[in-house]
Amino acid sequence: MISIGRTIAGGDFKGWEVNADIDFHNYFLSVDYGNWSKSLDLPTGSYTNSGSYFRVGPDVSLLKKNSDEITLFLGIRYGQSKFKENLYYTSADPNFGDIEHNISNRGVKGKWIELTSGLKAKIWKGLWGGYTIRLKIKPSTNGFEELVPYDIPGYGINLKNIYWGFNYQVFWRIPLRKN
Amino acid sequence: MKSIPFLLLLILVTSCFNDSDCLITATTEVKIRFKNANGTDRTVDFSSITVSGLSNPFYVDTPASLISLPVNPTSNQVTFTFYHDEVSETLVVTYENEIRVVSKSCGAYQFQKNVSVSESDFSQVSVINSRLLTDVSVNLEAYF
Repeated sequence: MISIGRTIAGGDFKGWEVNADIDFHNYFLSVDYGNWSKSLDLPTGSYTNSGSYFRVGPDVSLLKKNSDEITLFLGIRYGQSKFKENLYYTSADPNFGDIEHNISNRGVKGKWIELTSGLKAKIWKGLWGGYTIRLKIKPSTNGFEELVPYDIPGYGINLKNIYWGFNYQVFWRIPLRKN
Repeated sequence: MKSIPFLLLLILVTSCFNDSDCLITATTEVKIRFKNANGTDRTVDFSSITVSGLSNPFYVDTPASLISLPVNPTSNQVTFTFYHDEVSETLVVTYENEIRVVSKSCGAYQFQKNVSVSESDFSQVSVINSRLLTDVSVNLEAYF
């Protein structure tokens, strides 16, 4: 199945995501690819980032019998992201005066693990709808110097070792085999 | 089994996303304790202490066994010169700057880490804690 999903988010977020999975009876191989950017106002400056990410991993159906109407699943994902970010802010040092900081990271890489669960239900013919809940853990980043990465596209806030995510999706099922 | 995804959704909906509390421990001050060769604390009557990048002496006529001196947040190195008893000692301290966005509401802050000594006129300088934080009591111990 192939879907375009969009994460519910606030006005400072823009992104899109495409999902695909292959059904091996009660098991699925799922691949996601997405792009997101954030623009935040800070008390004394601003932060922006943009980048792409992918996730890949297996799902297992929780239903004893494979259904053409509904699928409940549990899964695990490996996620990876490549992004850039920019931070501008001012600070007041009591001895050295006011300082402007304008610093960027380019080509930062992030990775993480996800535990997923969700539901997909048939709406009409090949059209399905569903959601995925994500428990994201173990983020790590490399490729930066002075600015510690703040927000990882596909994951969220780097400082948070556990992060929840939620996607709602619309799918189109492409039959590849006779049932 | 069918209820598991719905329970997970319930947990997600009822969980709260909390920004980090703004407990900022960053400081641009390096704390130096002075010691005799035998390891006991030494109180020194400094006539003045200068910091590179600052036009005026940072301390004048100050007796101290533990002192806090500022590092330059726009550089990776600072030189302290201690004047006392008609002599002077120079201490060159190097460090790495790290910038973190603490949270959207708290903003960004700069931290200094990997503090080390590149040059010194003291007999010995030990790095006790290489991060400049408000809850660190001593960063360097300088031995006469």
